[in-house]
Amino acid sequence: MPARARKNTKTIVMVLLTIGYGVLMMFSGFIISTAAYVFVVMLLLNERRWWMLVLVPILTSLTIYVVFNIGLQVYLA
Amino acid sequence: MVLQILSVMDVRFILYVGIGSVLGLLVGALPGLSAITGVALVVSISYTWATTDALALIMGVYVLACYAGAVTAILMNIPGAPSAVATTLDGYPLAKQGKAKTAIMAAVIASTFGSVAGIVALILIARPMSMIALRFSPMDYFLLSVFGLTTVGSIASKNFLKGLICAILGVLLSTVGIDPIMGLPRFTFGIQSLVSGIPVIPALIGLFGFSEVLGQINEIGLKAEILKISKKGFELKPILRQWKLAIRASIIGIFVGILPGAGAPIAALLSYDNAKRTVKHPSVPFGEGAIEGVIASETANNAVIGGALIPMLALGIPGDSVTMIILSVFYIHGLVPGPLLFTQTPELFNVIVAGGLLGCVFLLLLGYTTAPLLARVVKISKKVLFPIIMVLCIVGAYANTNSMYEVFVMIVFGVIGYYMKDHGYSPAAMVLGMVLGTLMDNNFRRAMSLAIGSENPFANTFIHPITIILILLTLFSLAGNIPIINKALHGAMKRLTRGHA
Repeated sequence: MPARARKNTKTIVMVLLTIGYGVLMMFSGFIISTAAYVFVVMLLLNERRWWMLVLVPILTSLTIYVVFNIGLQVYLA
Repeated sequence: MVLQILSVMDVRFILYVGIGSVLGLLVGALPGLSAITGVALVVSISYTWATTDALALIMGVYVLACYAGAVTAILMNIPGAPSAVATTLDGYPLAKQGKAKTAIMAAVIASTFGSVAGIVALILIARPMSMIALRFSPMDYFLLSVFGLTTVGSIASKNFLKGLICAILGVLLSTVGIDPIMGLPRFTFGIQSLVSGIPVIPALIGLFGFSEVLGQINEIGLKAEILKISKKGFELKPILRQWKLAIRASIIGIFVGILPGAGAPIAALLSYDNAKRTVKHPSVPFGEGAIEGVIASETANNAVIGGALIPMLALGIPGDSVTMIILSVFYIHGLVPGPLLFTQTPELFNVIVAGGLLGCVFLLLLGYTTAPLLARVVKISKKVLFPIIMVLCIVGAYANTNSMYEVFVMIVFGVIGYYMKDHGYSPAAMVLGMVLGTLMDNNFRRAMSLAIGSENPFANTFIHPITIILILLTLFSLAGNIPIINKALHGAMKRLTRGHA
């Protein structure tokens, strides 16, 4: 079943990426690791529009950082 | 009572319910995120807040998220949440016929009606029920939890055995950590982090949010089209004419809500099925755009809110997965549900009722007007949405206690949830097992130590009216799932009804 095998690879890569993101967050902080994670996951999901690949990671990471740290007082490192 | 509820609603309270409502709309409409994930995320954020603020936010999310699934169900044929599955059956055909506005208005009115009916039931039933709770012995609490587990097996999943397996797995997971009676660590394998048990909120976010994305990344090829909404406005008359159906659907929703374990998705399906059988002459046949179908499904899934809060507030036993998370908020803030809640902190009950009612107001205000906008947000490619949802899951798990450990717990449960869904097992049943497991553990052992101390352990434990009723209920619930007995019952029912006709 090649279709099924491919289906699982995508999920496994996703899980590994997320674990990697967790580890990276401990070293390089929230903003950089989040932007990198969103970028790679978008690539994995076949996003190829370059302006989306630039804008979405940066905006996501900054927005969440600001909302949580200032608005909600949940401190993300 | 009315004055007390009104006195809760100051500007700050309204603001928090409003923010919750907007979040609820988004969470409910996005496929992959439902009321459960939404409330879990919000709880992890509001961890350190005052109880009133946290509950206001949660009630806003809860009410609106139960409705918002209908928007995508109607406009795109994608149920935004499992509770909106029955809504797609007639909502989408209606929209296709150019009656999208009528369908959405029907969903808004039905959801509001259902929510209000549920909250009225909550006001009427919760306090008397908590009085009965005064007579409950630890054994009764244990049996009530067992009953909850059996209903999960029978109603919440298609396969009884699989449902039960998940529930028992959840019970096993709940025993990890410090033993509540002896104070010794159990099943921790020497791992320090496990001593405090498996954290429920990260587990929930993993099981319902993360796992959903893991499953859906494979379906990206499917493109959903939003139907053009015709300029024609909505018609109010055919909606309001269905008030009888709405009352019936509300009763179904409230009842399913009260049952420990079963929640909004089941209520919607049961109510839709009931409408199909009882409405003799629908405007058009069901499945081809009958407004009755939308009303039945949407009323019931919102009526569940009030219903599910009843056993949670009166007995401390959650009626569905969302109230289970609200229960954990109670524990975080050191509040104990049950009869004491009504005598010692009555204002808290008013906060929940006020939050729910304000949620209904926001539902009426926002539900209809934001529908096209919501559909457009959902339409944003999953390539963009999924990474953001993933980050939110992780931040939600992290925010709970500011520790990386909980993030990894979330990821582990995400993978478990993905495999469970892939093989027909129900994560909802497992979560219910996790929560009821703690209650079962505590109460069974208290019951046993009471029994040991008494002269006639057996009579003292079991010969009480409430205990006997609960044992019978549990046995019936179990027996109904054994194929032979089920068949015999159905045969008998058929013969009986034929005899009457």
